[in-house]
Amino acid sequence: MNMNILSFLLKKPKDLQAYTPDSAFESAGVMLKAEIDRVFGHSIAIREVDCGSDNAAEIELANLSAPHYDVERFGITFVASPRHADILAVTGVVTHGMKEALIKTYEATPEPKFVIAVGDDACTGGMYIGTYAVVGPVDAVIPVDLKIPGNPPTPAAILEGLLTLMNVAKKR
Amino acid sequence: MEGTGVYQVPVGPVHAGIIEPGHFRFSVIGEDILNLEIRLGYLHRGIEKLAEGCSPEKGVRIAESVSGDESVANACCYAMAVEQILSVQVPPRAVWLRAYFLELERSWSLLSDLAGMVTDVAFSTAASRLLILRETVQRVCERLTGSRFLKGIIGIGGISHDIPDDLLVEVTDTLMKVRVDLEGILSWVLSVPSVIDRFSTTGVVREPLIDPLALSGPVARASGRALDVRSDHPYGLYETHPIPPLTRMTGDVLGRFALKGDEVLASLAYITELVRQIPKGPVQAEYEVCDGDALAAVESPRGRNLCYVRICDGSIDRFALSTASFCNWMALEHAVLGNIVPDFPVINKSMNLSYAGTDL
Repeated sequence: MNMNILSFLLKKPKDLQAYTPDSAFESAGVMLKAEIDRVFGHSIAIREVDCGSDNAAEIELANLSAPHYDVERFGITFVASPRHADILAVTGVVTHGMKEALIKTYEATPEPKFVIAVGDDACTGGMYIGTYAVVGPVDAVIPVDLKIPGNPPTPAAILEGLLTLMNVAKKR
Repeated sequence: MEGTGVYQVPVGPVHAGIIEPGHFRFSVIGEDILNLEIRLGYLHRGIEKLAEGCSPEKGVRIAESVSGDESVANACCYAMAVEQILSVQVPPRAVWLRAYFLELERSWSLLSDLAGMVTDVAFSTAASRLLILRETVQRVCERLTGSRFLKGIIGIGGISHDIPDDLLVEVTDTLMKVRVDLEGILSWVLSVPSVIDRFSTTGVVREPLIDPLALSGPVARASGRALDVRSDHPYGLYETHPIPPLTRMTGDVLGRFALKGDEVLASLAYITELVRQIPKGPVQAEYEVCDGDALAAVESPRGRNLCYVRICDGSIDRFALSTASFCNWMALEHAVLGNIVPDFPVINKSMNLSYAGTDL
């Protein structure tokens, strides 16, 4: 390494690209943070379950933790186990292969739990409805609290969806 | 695998990260992996059967849904097969724009792989900077086509709508900046000893495996074989404007990291050069549906994708698609042998194969 550690810490790298935060996303995030504080007590933990998506929805969910969005600021964390989760984010139409795994994941999640269906296929089954290999949309297998449509939904759309979920959670 | 001191580590189908489902069963002695069995199929959605009876136009949307991060490659592959059946000549402007989108997709897709690899060796500073570049390229995709995943842009006989020239020039500046930034990040990452320590000699794919397992893409190229559909069976713009395949000899994670980095640089250089020469004209050819069958191949970010289509009575009678991941998963079973279990994530990420693209 040709730079010493101190200069690396103090100097901003020349080639670091600056970007302007998206103001709509930021304000939605701040509102969501206030709601999370009120409804969930400072933070929510999300466990993602892919039941038959084409991996685009996973990429967008993972993007929420990337520097442009960084939703951990707003009290949202993605966790490795359903046992640590408040919310299951389910993507894709539910295939026969994933039906049992989805039910087990749902049962492993402690109460009170919420389920969001992320993406068109998870919400309605999309074009896969009727093929021999799928059970149907997520709500054909487990109860769903909120559907976020999109092919796939953008990170901003997912964040707005979570904001709506807070209203659902308050009523419960 | 059984024996004294051998124990099994089952993983999945629901993994710890935000990724697709698949089951891995490791047979381990101490920390060393003796054997790995990969069981896939959880994402089987019956795509090939779904396409039967659909119109050729609908087939593009089905091909696009096979795997989200190679949607242009699969849509193009399918469209090329159908165009072969219908004897359609794609207009020059559409040929150029298709190459543009294919390389744009390769760029953002491989940038995720690079970020994933450095994340898995706990180098999050570099991962953040790579993810900034990835997001920048995905936003370029959104500005051009309205989709961050370039969905809906490929159509039979060309592309579904034209992209204005001034918009193309405008985003080229952004892409050139991404390229300069990436060069800096790559030389920085590859000068950090702890990264080299984790990457080097980890997860080696030996060259003799390439033929028997029919490996392709960066997995084969990082093991010293210049296999690339773009140069072996040129299609579209690559017929007249070749893009030479890059290789690395070591076959380890370091080789795949360096190769994928170079491939993103090459793709960005190719499209920023290309944009000055894009011809004017229509982007969609007229066609009439007729019967027949054809096979097409494209180079997706992960390697060789094949699509076979047969049309009978104006609708799809048989649709078969094979992505590079289908063969390359076997390479992972071999690459992990003798490595320690904690290195599995970085080896897996260095190939970053598609579960959805394998299960269909």
